[in-house]
Amino acid sequence: MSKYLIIHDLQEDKAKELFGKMQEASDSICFSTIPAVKPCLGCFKCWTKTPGKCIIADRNSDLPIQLAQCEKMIIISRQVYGGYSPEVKASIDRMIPYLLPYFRIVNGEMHHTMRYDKELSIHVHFYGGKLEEEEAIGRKLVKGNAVNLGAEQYSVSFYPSVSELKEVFS
Amino acid sequence: MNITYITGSPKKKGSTSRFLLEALDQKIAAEHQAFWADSAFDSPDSIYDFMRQSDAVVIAFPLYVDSIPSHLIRLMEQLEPMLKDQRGITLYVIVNCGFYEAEQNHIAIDMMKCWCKQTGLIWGQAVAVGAGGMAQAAPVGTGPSTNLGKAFDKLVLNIEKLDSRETLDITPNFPRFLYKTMAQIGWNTEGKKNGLRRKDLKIRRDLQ
Repeated sequence: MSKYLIIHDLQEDKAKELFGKMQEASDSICFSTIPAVKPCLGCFKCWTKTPGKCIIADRNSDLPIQLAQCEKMIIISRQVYGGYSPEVKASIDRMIPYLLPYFRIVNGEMHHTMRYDKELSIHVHFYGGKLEEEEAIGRKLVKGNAVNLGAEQYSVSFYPSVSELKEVFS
Repeated sequence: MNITYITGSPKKKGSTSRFLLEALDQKIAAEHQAFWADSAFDSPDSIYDFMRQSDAVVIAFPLYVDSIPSHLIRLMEQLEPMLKDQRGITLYVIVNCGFYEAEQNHIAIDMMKCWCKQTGLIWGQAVAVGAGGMAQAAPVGTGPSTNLGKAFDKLVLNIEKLDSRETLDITPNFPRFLYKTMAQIGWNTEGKKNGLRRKDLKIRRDLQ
């Protein structure tokens, strides 16, 4: 079974209901973004001083290294203005040491070069969006994330509220 | 008129976002009072206090992983209930990304438009800035920032009239391949300052 990295902003009991069995059945990693970790400082030291690792020493600092060991990243996030909740985004913003600072051109656009030579797919489940246009924004965002993180495959789905999420992993 | 400028960078000093806002403010000829706020260090209450007294609000921020930095999304959510019944404030946005293409900022701009819809803010205009890494290399309006200066001239006219307009996409007056090469040299130089060579910067880590 491929190894998963699950990043979510759910309450503990809901997370257990959704991924409890999946975690037991594999060595997947389940990362709760609640309470939110410290935001990225924009210092770029994860590229120039401690390459591959954020200088903020907390529970988030190994997350990019854990991603390097997984084939699938699953993100479950409340949808805010079309994108991720501030809690999930704080962890994703600090994912950049997974990449190198250097640039490459992909599909005619500039992106970062890859630190790790590996396969990755990204699967995002948004819940609780309020506006019709948020779905289109969410799709573009996840597509952009997939290109930037060098993921060959991605998927994105939307749920009106957290209670509908049970269908995701049934 | 009153204008609130909100720096959306998490950096305390030297941010491109603050640099761009100061350059914009210098171009505004109309008599105005400016309020300066910092999204990472000022309280939502104090920022709201500036906003409610303003005709225009200009937020400048860096693109983080295809969208808005997390601390700024949090602030926007905190401000949302306060701004719900607020009318007559027009929002202008400047987003800069490290990538060359200005279009890569469009997702973040669409998110800011959602924020307007969920508050009482009126959408004004966005300026999408590509190659943000060199935005501070020259004064706005000169050399590689000539296009940026022209876009700011248009933005200033719209702010002064509180007009709503289409997004302006700005790439520098500087070729992409050179920007890419200079960025590479820049990262290697930063690494050297920390005693690291190029191959050290490319290290693959394992869990300890």
